[in-house]
Amino acid sequence: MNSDKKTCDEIQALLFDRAAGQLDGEARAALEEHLGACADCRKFADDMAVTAKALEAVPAIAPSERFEVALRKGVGAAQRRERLKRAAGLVVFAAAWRRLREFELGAAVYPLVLLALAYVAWAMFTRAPEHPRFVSSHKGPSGRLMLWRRPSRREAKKMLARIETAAENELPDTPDDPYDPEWLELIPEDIEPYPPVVERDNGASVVRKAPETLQDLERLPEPKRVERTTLLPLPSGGPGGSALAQARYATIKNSKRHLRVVLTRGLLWLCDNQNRDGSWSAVDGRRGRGARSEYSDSEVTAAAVLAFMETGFRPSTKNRASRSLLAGLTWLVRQRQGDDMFAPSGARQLHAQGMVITALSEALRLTDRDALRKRFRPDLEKACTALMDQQSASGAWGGAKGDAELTAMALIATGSARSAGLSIDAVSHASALAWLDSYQESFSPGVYAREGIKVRAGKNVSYATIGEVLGSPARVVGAGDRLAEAARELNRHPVVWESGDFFRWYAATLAAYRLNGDFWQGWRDALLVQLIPHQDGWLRAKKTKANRGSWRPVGICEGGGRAYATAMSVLSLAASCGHSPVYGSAK
Amino acid sequence: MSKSDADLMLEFKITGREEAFTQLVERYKVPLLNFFYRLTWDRQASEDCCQEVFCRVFRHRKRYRPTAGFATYLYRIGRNLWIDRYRSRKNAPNSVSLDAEVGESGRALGGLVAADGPDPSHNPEVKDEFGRVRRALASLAPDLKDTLILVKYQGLKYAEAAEALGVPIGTVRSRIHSALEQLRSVLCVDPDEATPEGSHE
Repeated sequence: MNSDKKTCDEIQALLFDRAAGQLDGEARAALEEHLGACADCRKFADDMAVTAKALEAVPAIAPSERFEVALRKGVGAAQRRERLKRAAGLVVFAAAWRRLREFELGAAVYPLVLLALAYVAWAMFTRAPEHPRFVSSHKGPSGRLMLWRRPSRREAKKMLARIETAAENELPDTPDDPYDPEWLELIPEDIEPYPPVVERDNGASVVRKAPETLQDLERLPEPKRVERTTLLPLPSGGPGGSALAQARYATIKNSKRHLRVVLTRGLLWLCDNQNRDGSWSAVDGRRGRGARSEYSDSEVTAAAVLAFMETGFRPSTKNRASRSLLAGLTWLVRQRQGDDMFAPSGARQLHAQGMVITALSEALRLTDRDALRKRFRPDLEKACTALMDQQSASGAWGGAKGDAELTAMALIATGSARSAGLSIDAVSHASALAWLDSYQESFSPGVYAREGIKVRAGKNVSYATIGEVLGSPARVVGAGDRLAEAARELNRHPVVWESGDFFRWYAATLAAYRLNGDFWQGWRDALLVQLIPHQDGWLRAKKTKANRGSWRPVGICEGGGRAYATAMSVLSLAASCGHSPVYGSAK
Repeated sequence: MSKSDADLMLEFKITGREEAFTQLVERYKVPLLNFFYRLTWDRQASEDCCQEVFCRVFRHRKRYRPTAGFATYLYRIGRNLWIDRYRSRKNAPNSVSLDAEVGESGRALGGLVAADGPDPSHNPEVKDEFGRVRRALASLAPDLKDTLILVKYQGLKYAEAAEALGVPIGTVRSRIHSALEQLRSVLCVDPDEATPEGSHE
């Protein structure tokens, strides 16, 4: 009886919503069902219907002629006031100018003063900071401090060129340096012979000889770039195993030297700072054990093992990095709890779950060994099921209200699981995309982000964009397409180091790669410019510093510790080479 | 294809093109006018308010941020204006509220003020029912009334109304519920029985 009463209360609340015209289909069905059985509620529903009908009896009025005239007058007055203000501004400027001329300075001063004024106006007003906290303070191309604005695309390119020159001139180049970038050469020993490549050439299959030496690898074609307005295809299995690892290694090998150095140092730091049990800790230093953080060790470890796999390593025992990777993965699969979640409940539990799924899928995709496949696959399936269970009826993750960031994370995780050969429910995928679409709609995307007023909301919109880009089936994005317009915003709000938004940088790099073209170039430049110089010990020959090669946790990821910052940075930089768990890379 | 409201407003903000503004006025003048009409029950006052809102949008276009729908933005301005006027009228000496009922007829003063065009409250057929609903609406607390009008008559979703009113969604929902509950208790009794109750209030 008691529970009946409670249900009736809920039903009455729904009846109020119905009278206000706010009821959706699902609730309506529940309501009809209850009304069929409950006489009290039926009476209440009738009352509500009478009330609603009575309220609708209030008719609407139309604007009169007087209104139109008054509106025109009001607008005219406002226009006059604006013109007056502008004129007053000019008068003040002219007066100031005349006063300046009275000082009888040399004629050359006036253009200079004008130029200075123009520069101040340009620097202060062209790109207002998105948020006071995130005002970037890096040096511009001319070495000046750019307090008021972030670098433009052209400036970012110049800065990148400076970094490259500095790397050429100043990086230590001794063969016995433990941070020798050629350390990456170790990898090929681990890799089985490359399988023959079958290519379709004018309808006929052509079998190309498998590359055998490093030189062969270097001659491998770049990942295929499609036209700028076409999304790269989503995975349909794709190449796996040694072929994928080879291709990844090849792109790293072919990348610029400083990028290789940075990646190698980051990976070495990760190797050095792995716990004995194979995990990486979310909290740094001695207070590590026992100290609490919203980031779980599972998430940090998953990010770290992903960093190894995206740079071309596979779980094995052949070299140091592969052993680290194997130990990390082994630790990771042991973390599964009774509810199939991999991290303790908390704010970032679903994030951790997504990262773990992505990591396990990549491991499954990269390894050729049946023993390892058998070890990882059941855990991965359970993890996926647990993640899918968290999807709400609206299609989003993160509760009934939905969270764009979590939904994007889930799309990355399920995308990588699909590319590892798991079957993912198409309906849930479609409903997640639909939710992201409607979410973007509610913020009028592309327009909102350009204003960049509320950082939080803007960020969510960009996550929604990322999710849509990563989840949409391959298609051509037209010129006026909302997706393209919104994705352009990714470029307009590139990486700002102080925000410490590591996960978004990674996810946005994946999305930008899929979008290709201009978006991709702009995003990648901005990412490299911000991440490379912030690596500890960058351009320093001293080897004593313990943190050399790592990234400092800043901004919102402070809780994740140095290991998380480092793993995510390496991951983003590797993704900037075109590596991704979500789509078939480097075919 | 017609542009969205936010696009039009941004176009107006950035380029200052008046056609965009005119299109917005065409789209929103009737809903906004009726919003004020349901708050004031006075055609003249609501036309004044409506005109003032559009003028504010025009003047302060540079401050527009497309954080939410344009409708939400407009109603937010409208409601702020309404609060300003409502308060100033309350404080002003020797003034009569247009909501105040005149004589036995139960008609509000606002309805008696001469205006152009047909005023629905002058139609004898709808007068009785209309008067009852209007009295019932007038008896609601201002917050409840604002919220109900935004949701029920202006067709805003709870989330939009919450944005326009600057309160959480839960508050909007509970306000709607209590407003409808109050209206039900007034409107769902026979009009003849309701009269003494009404005069008692």
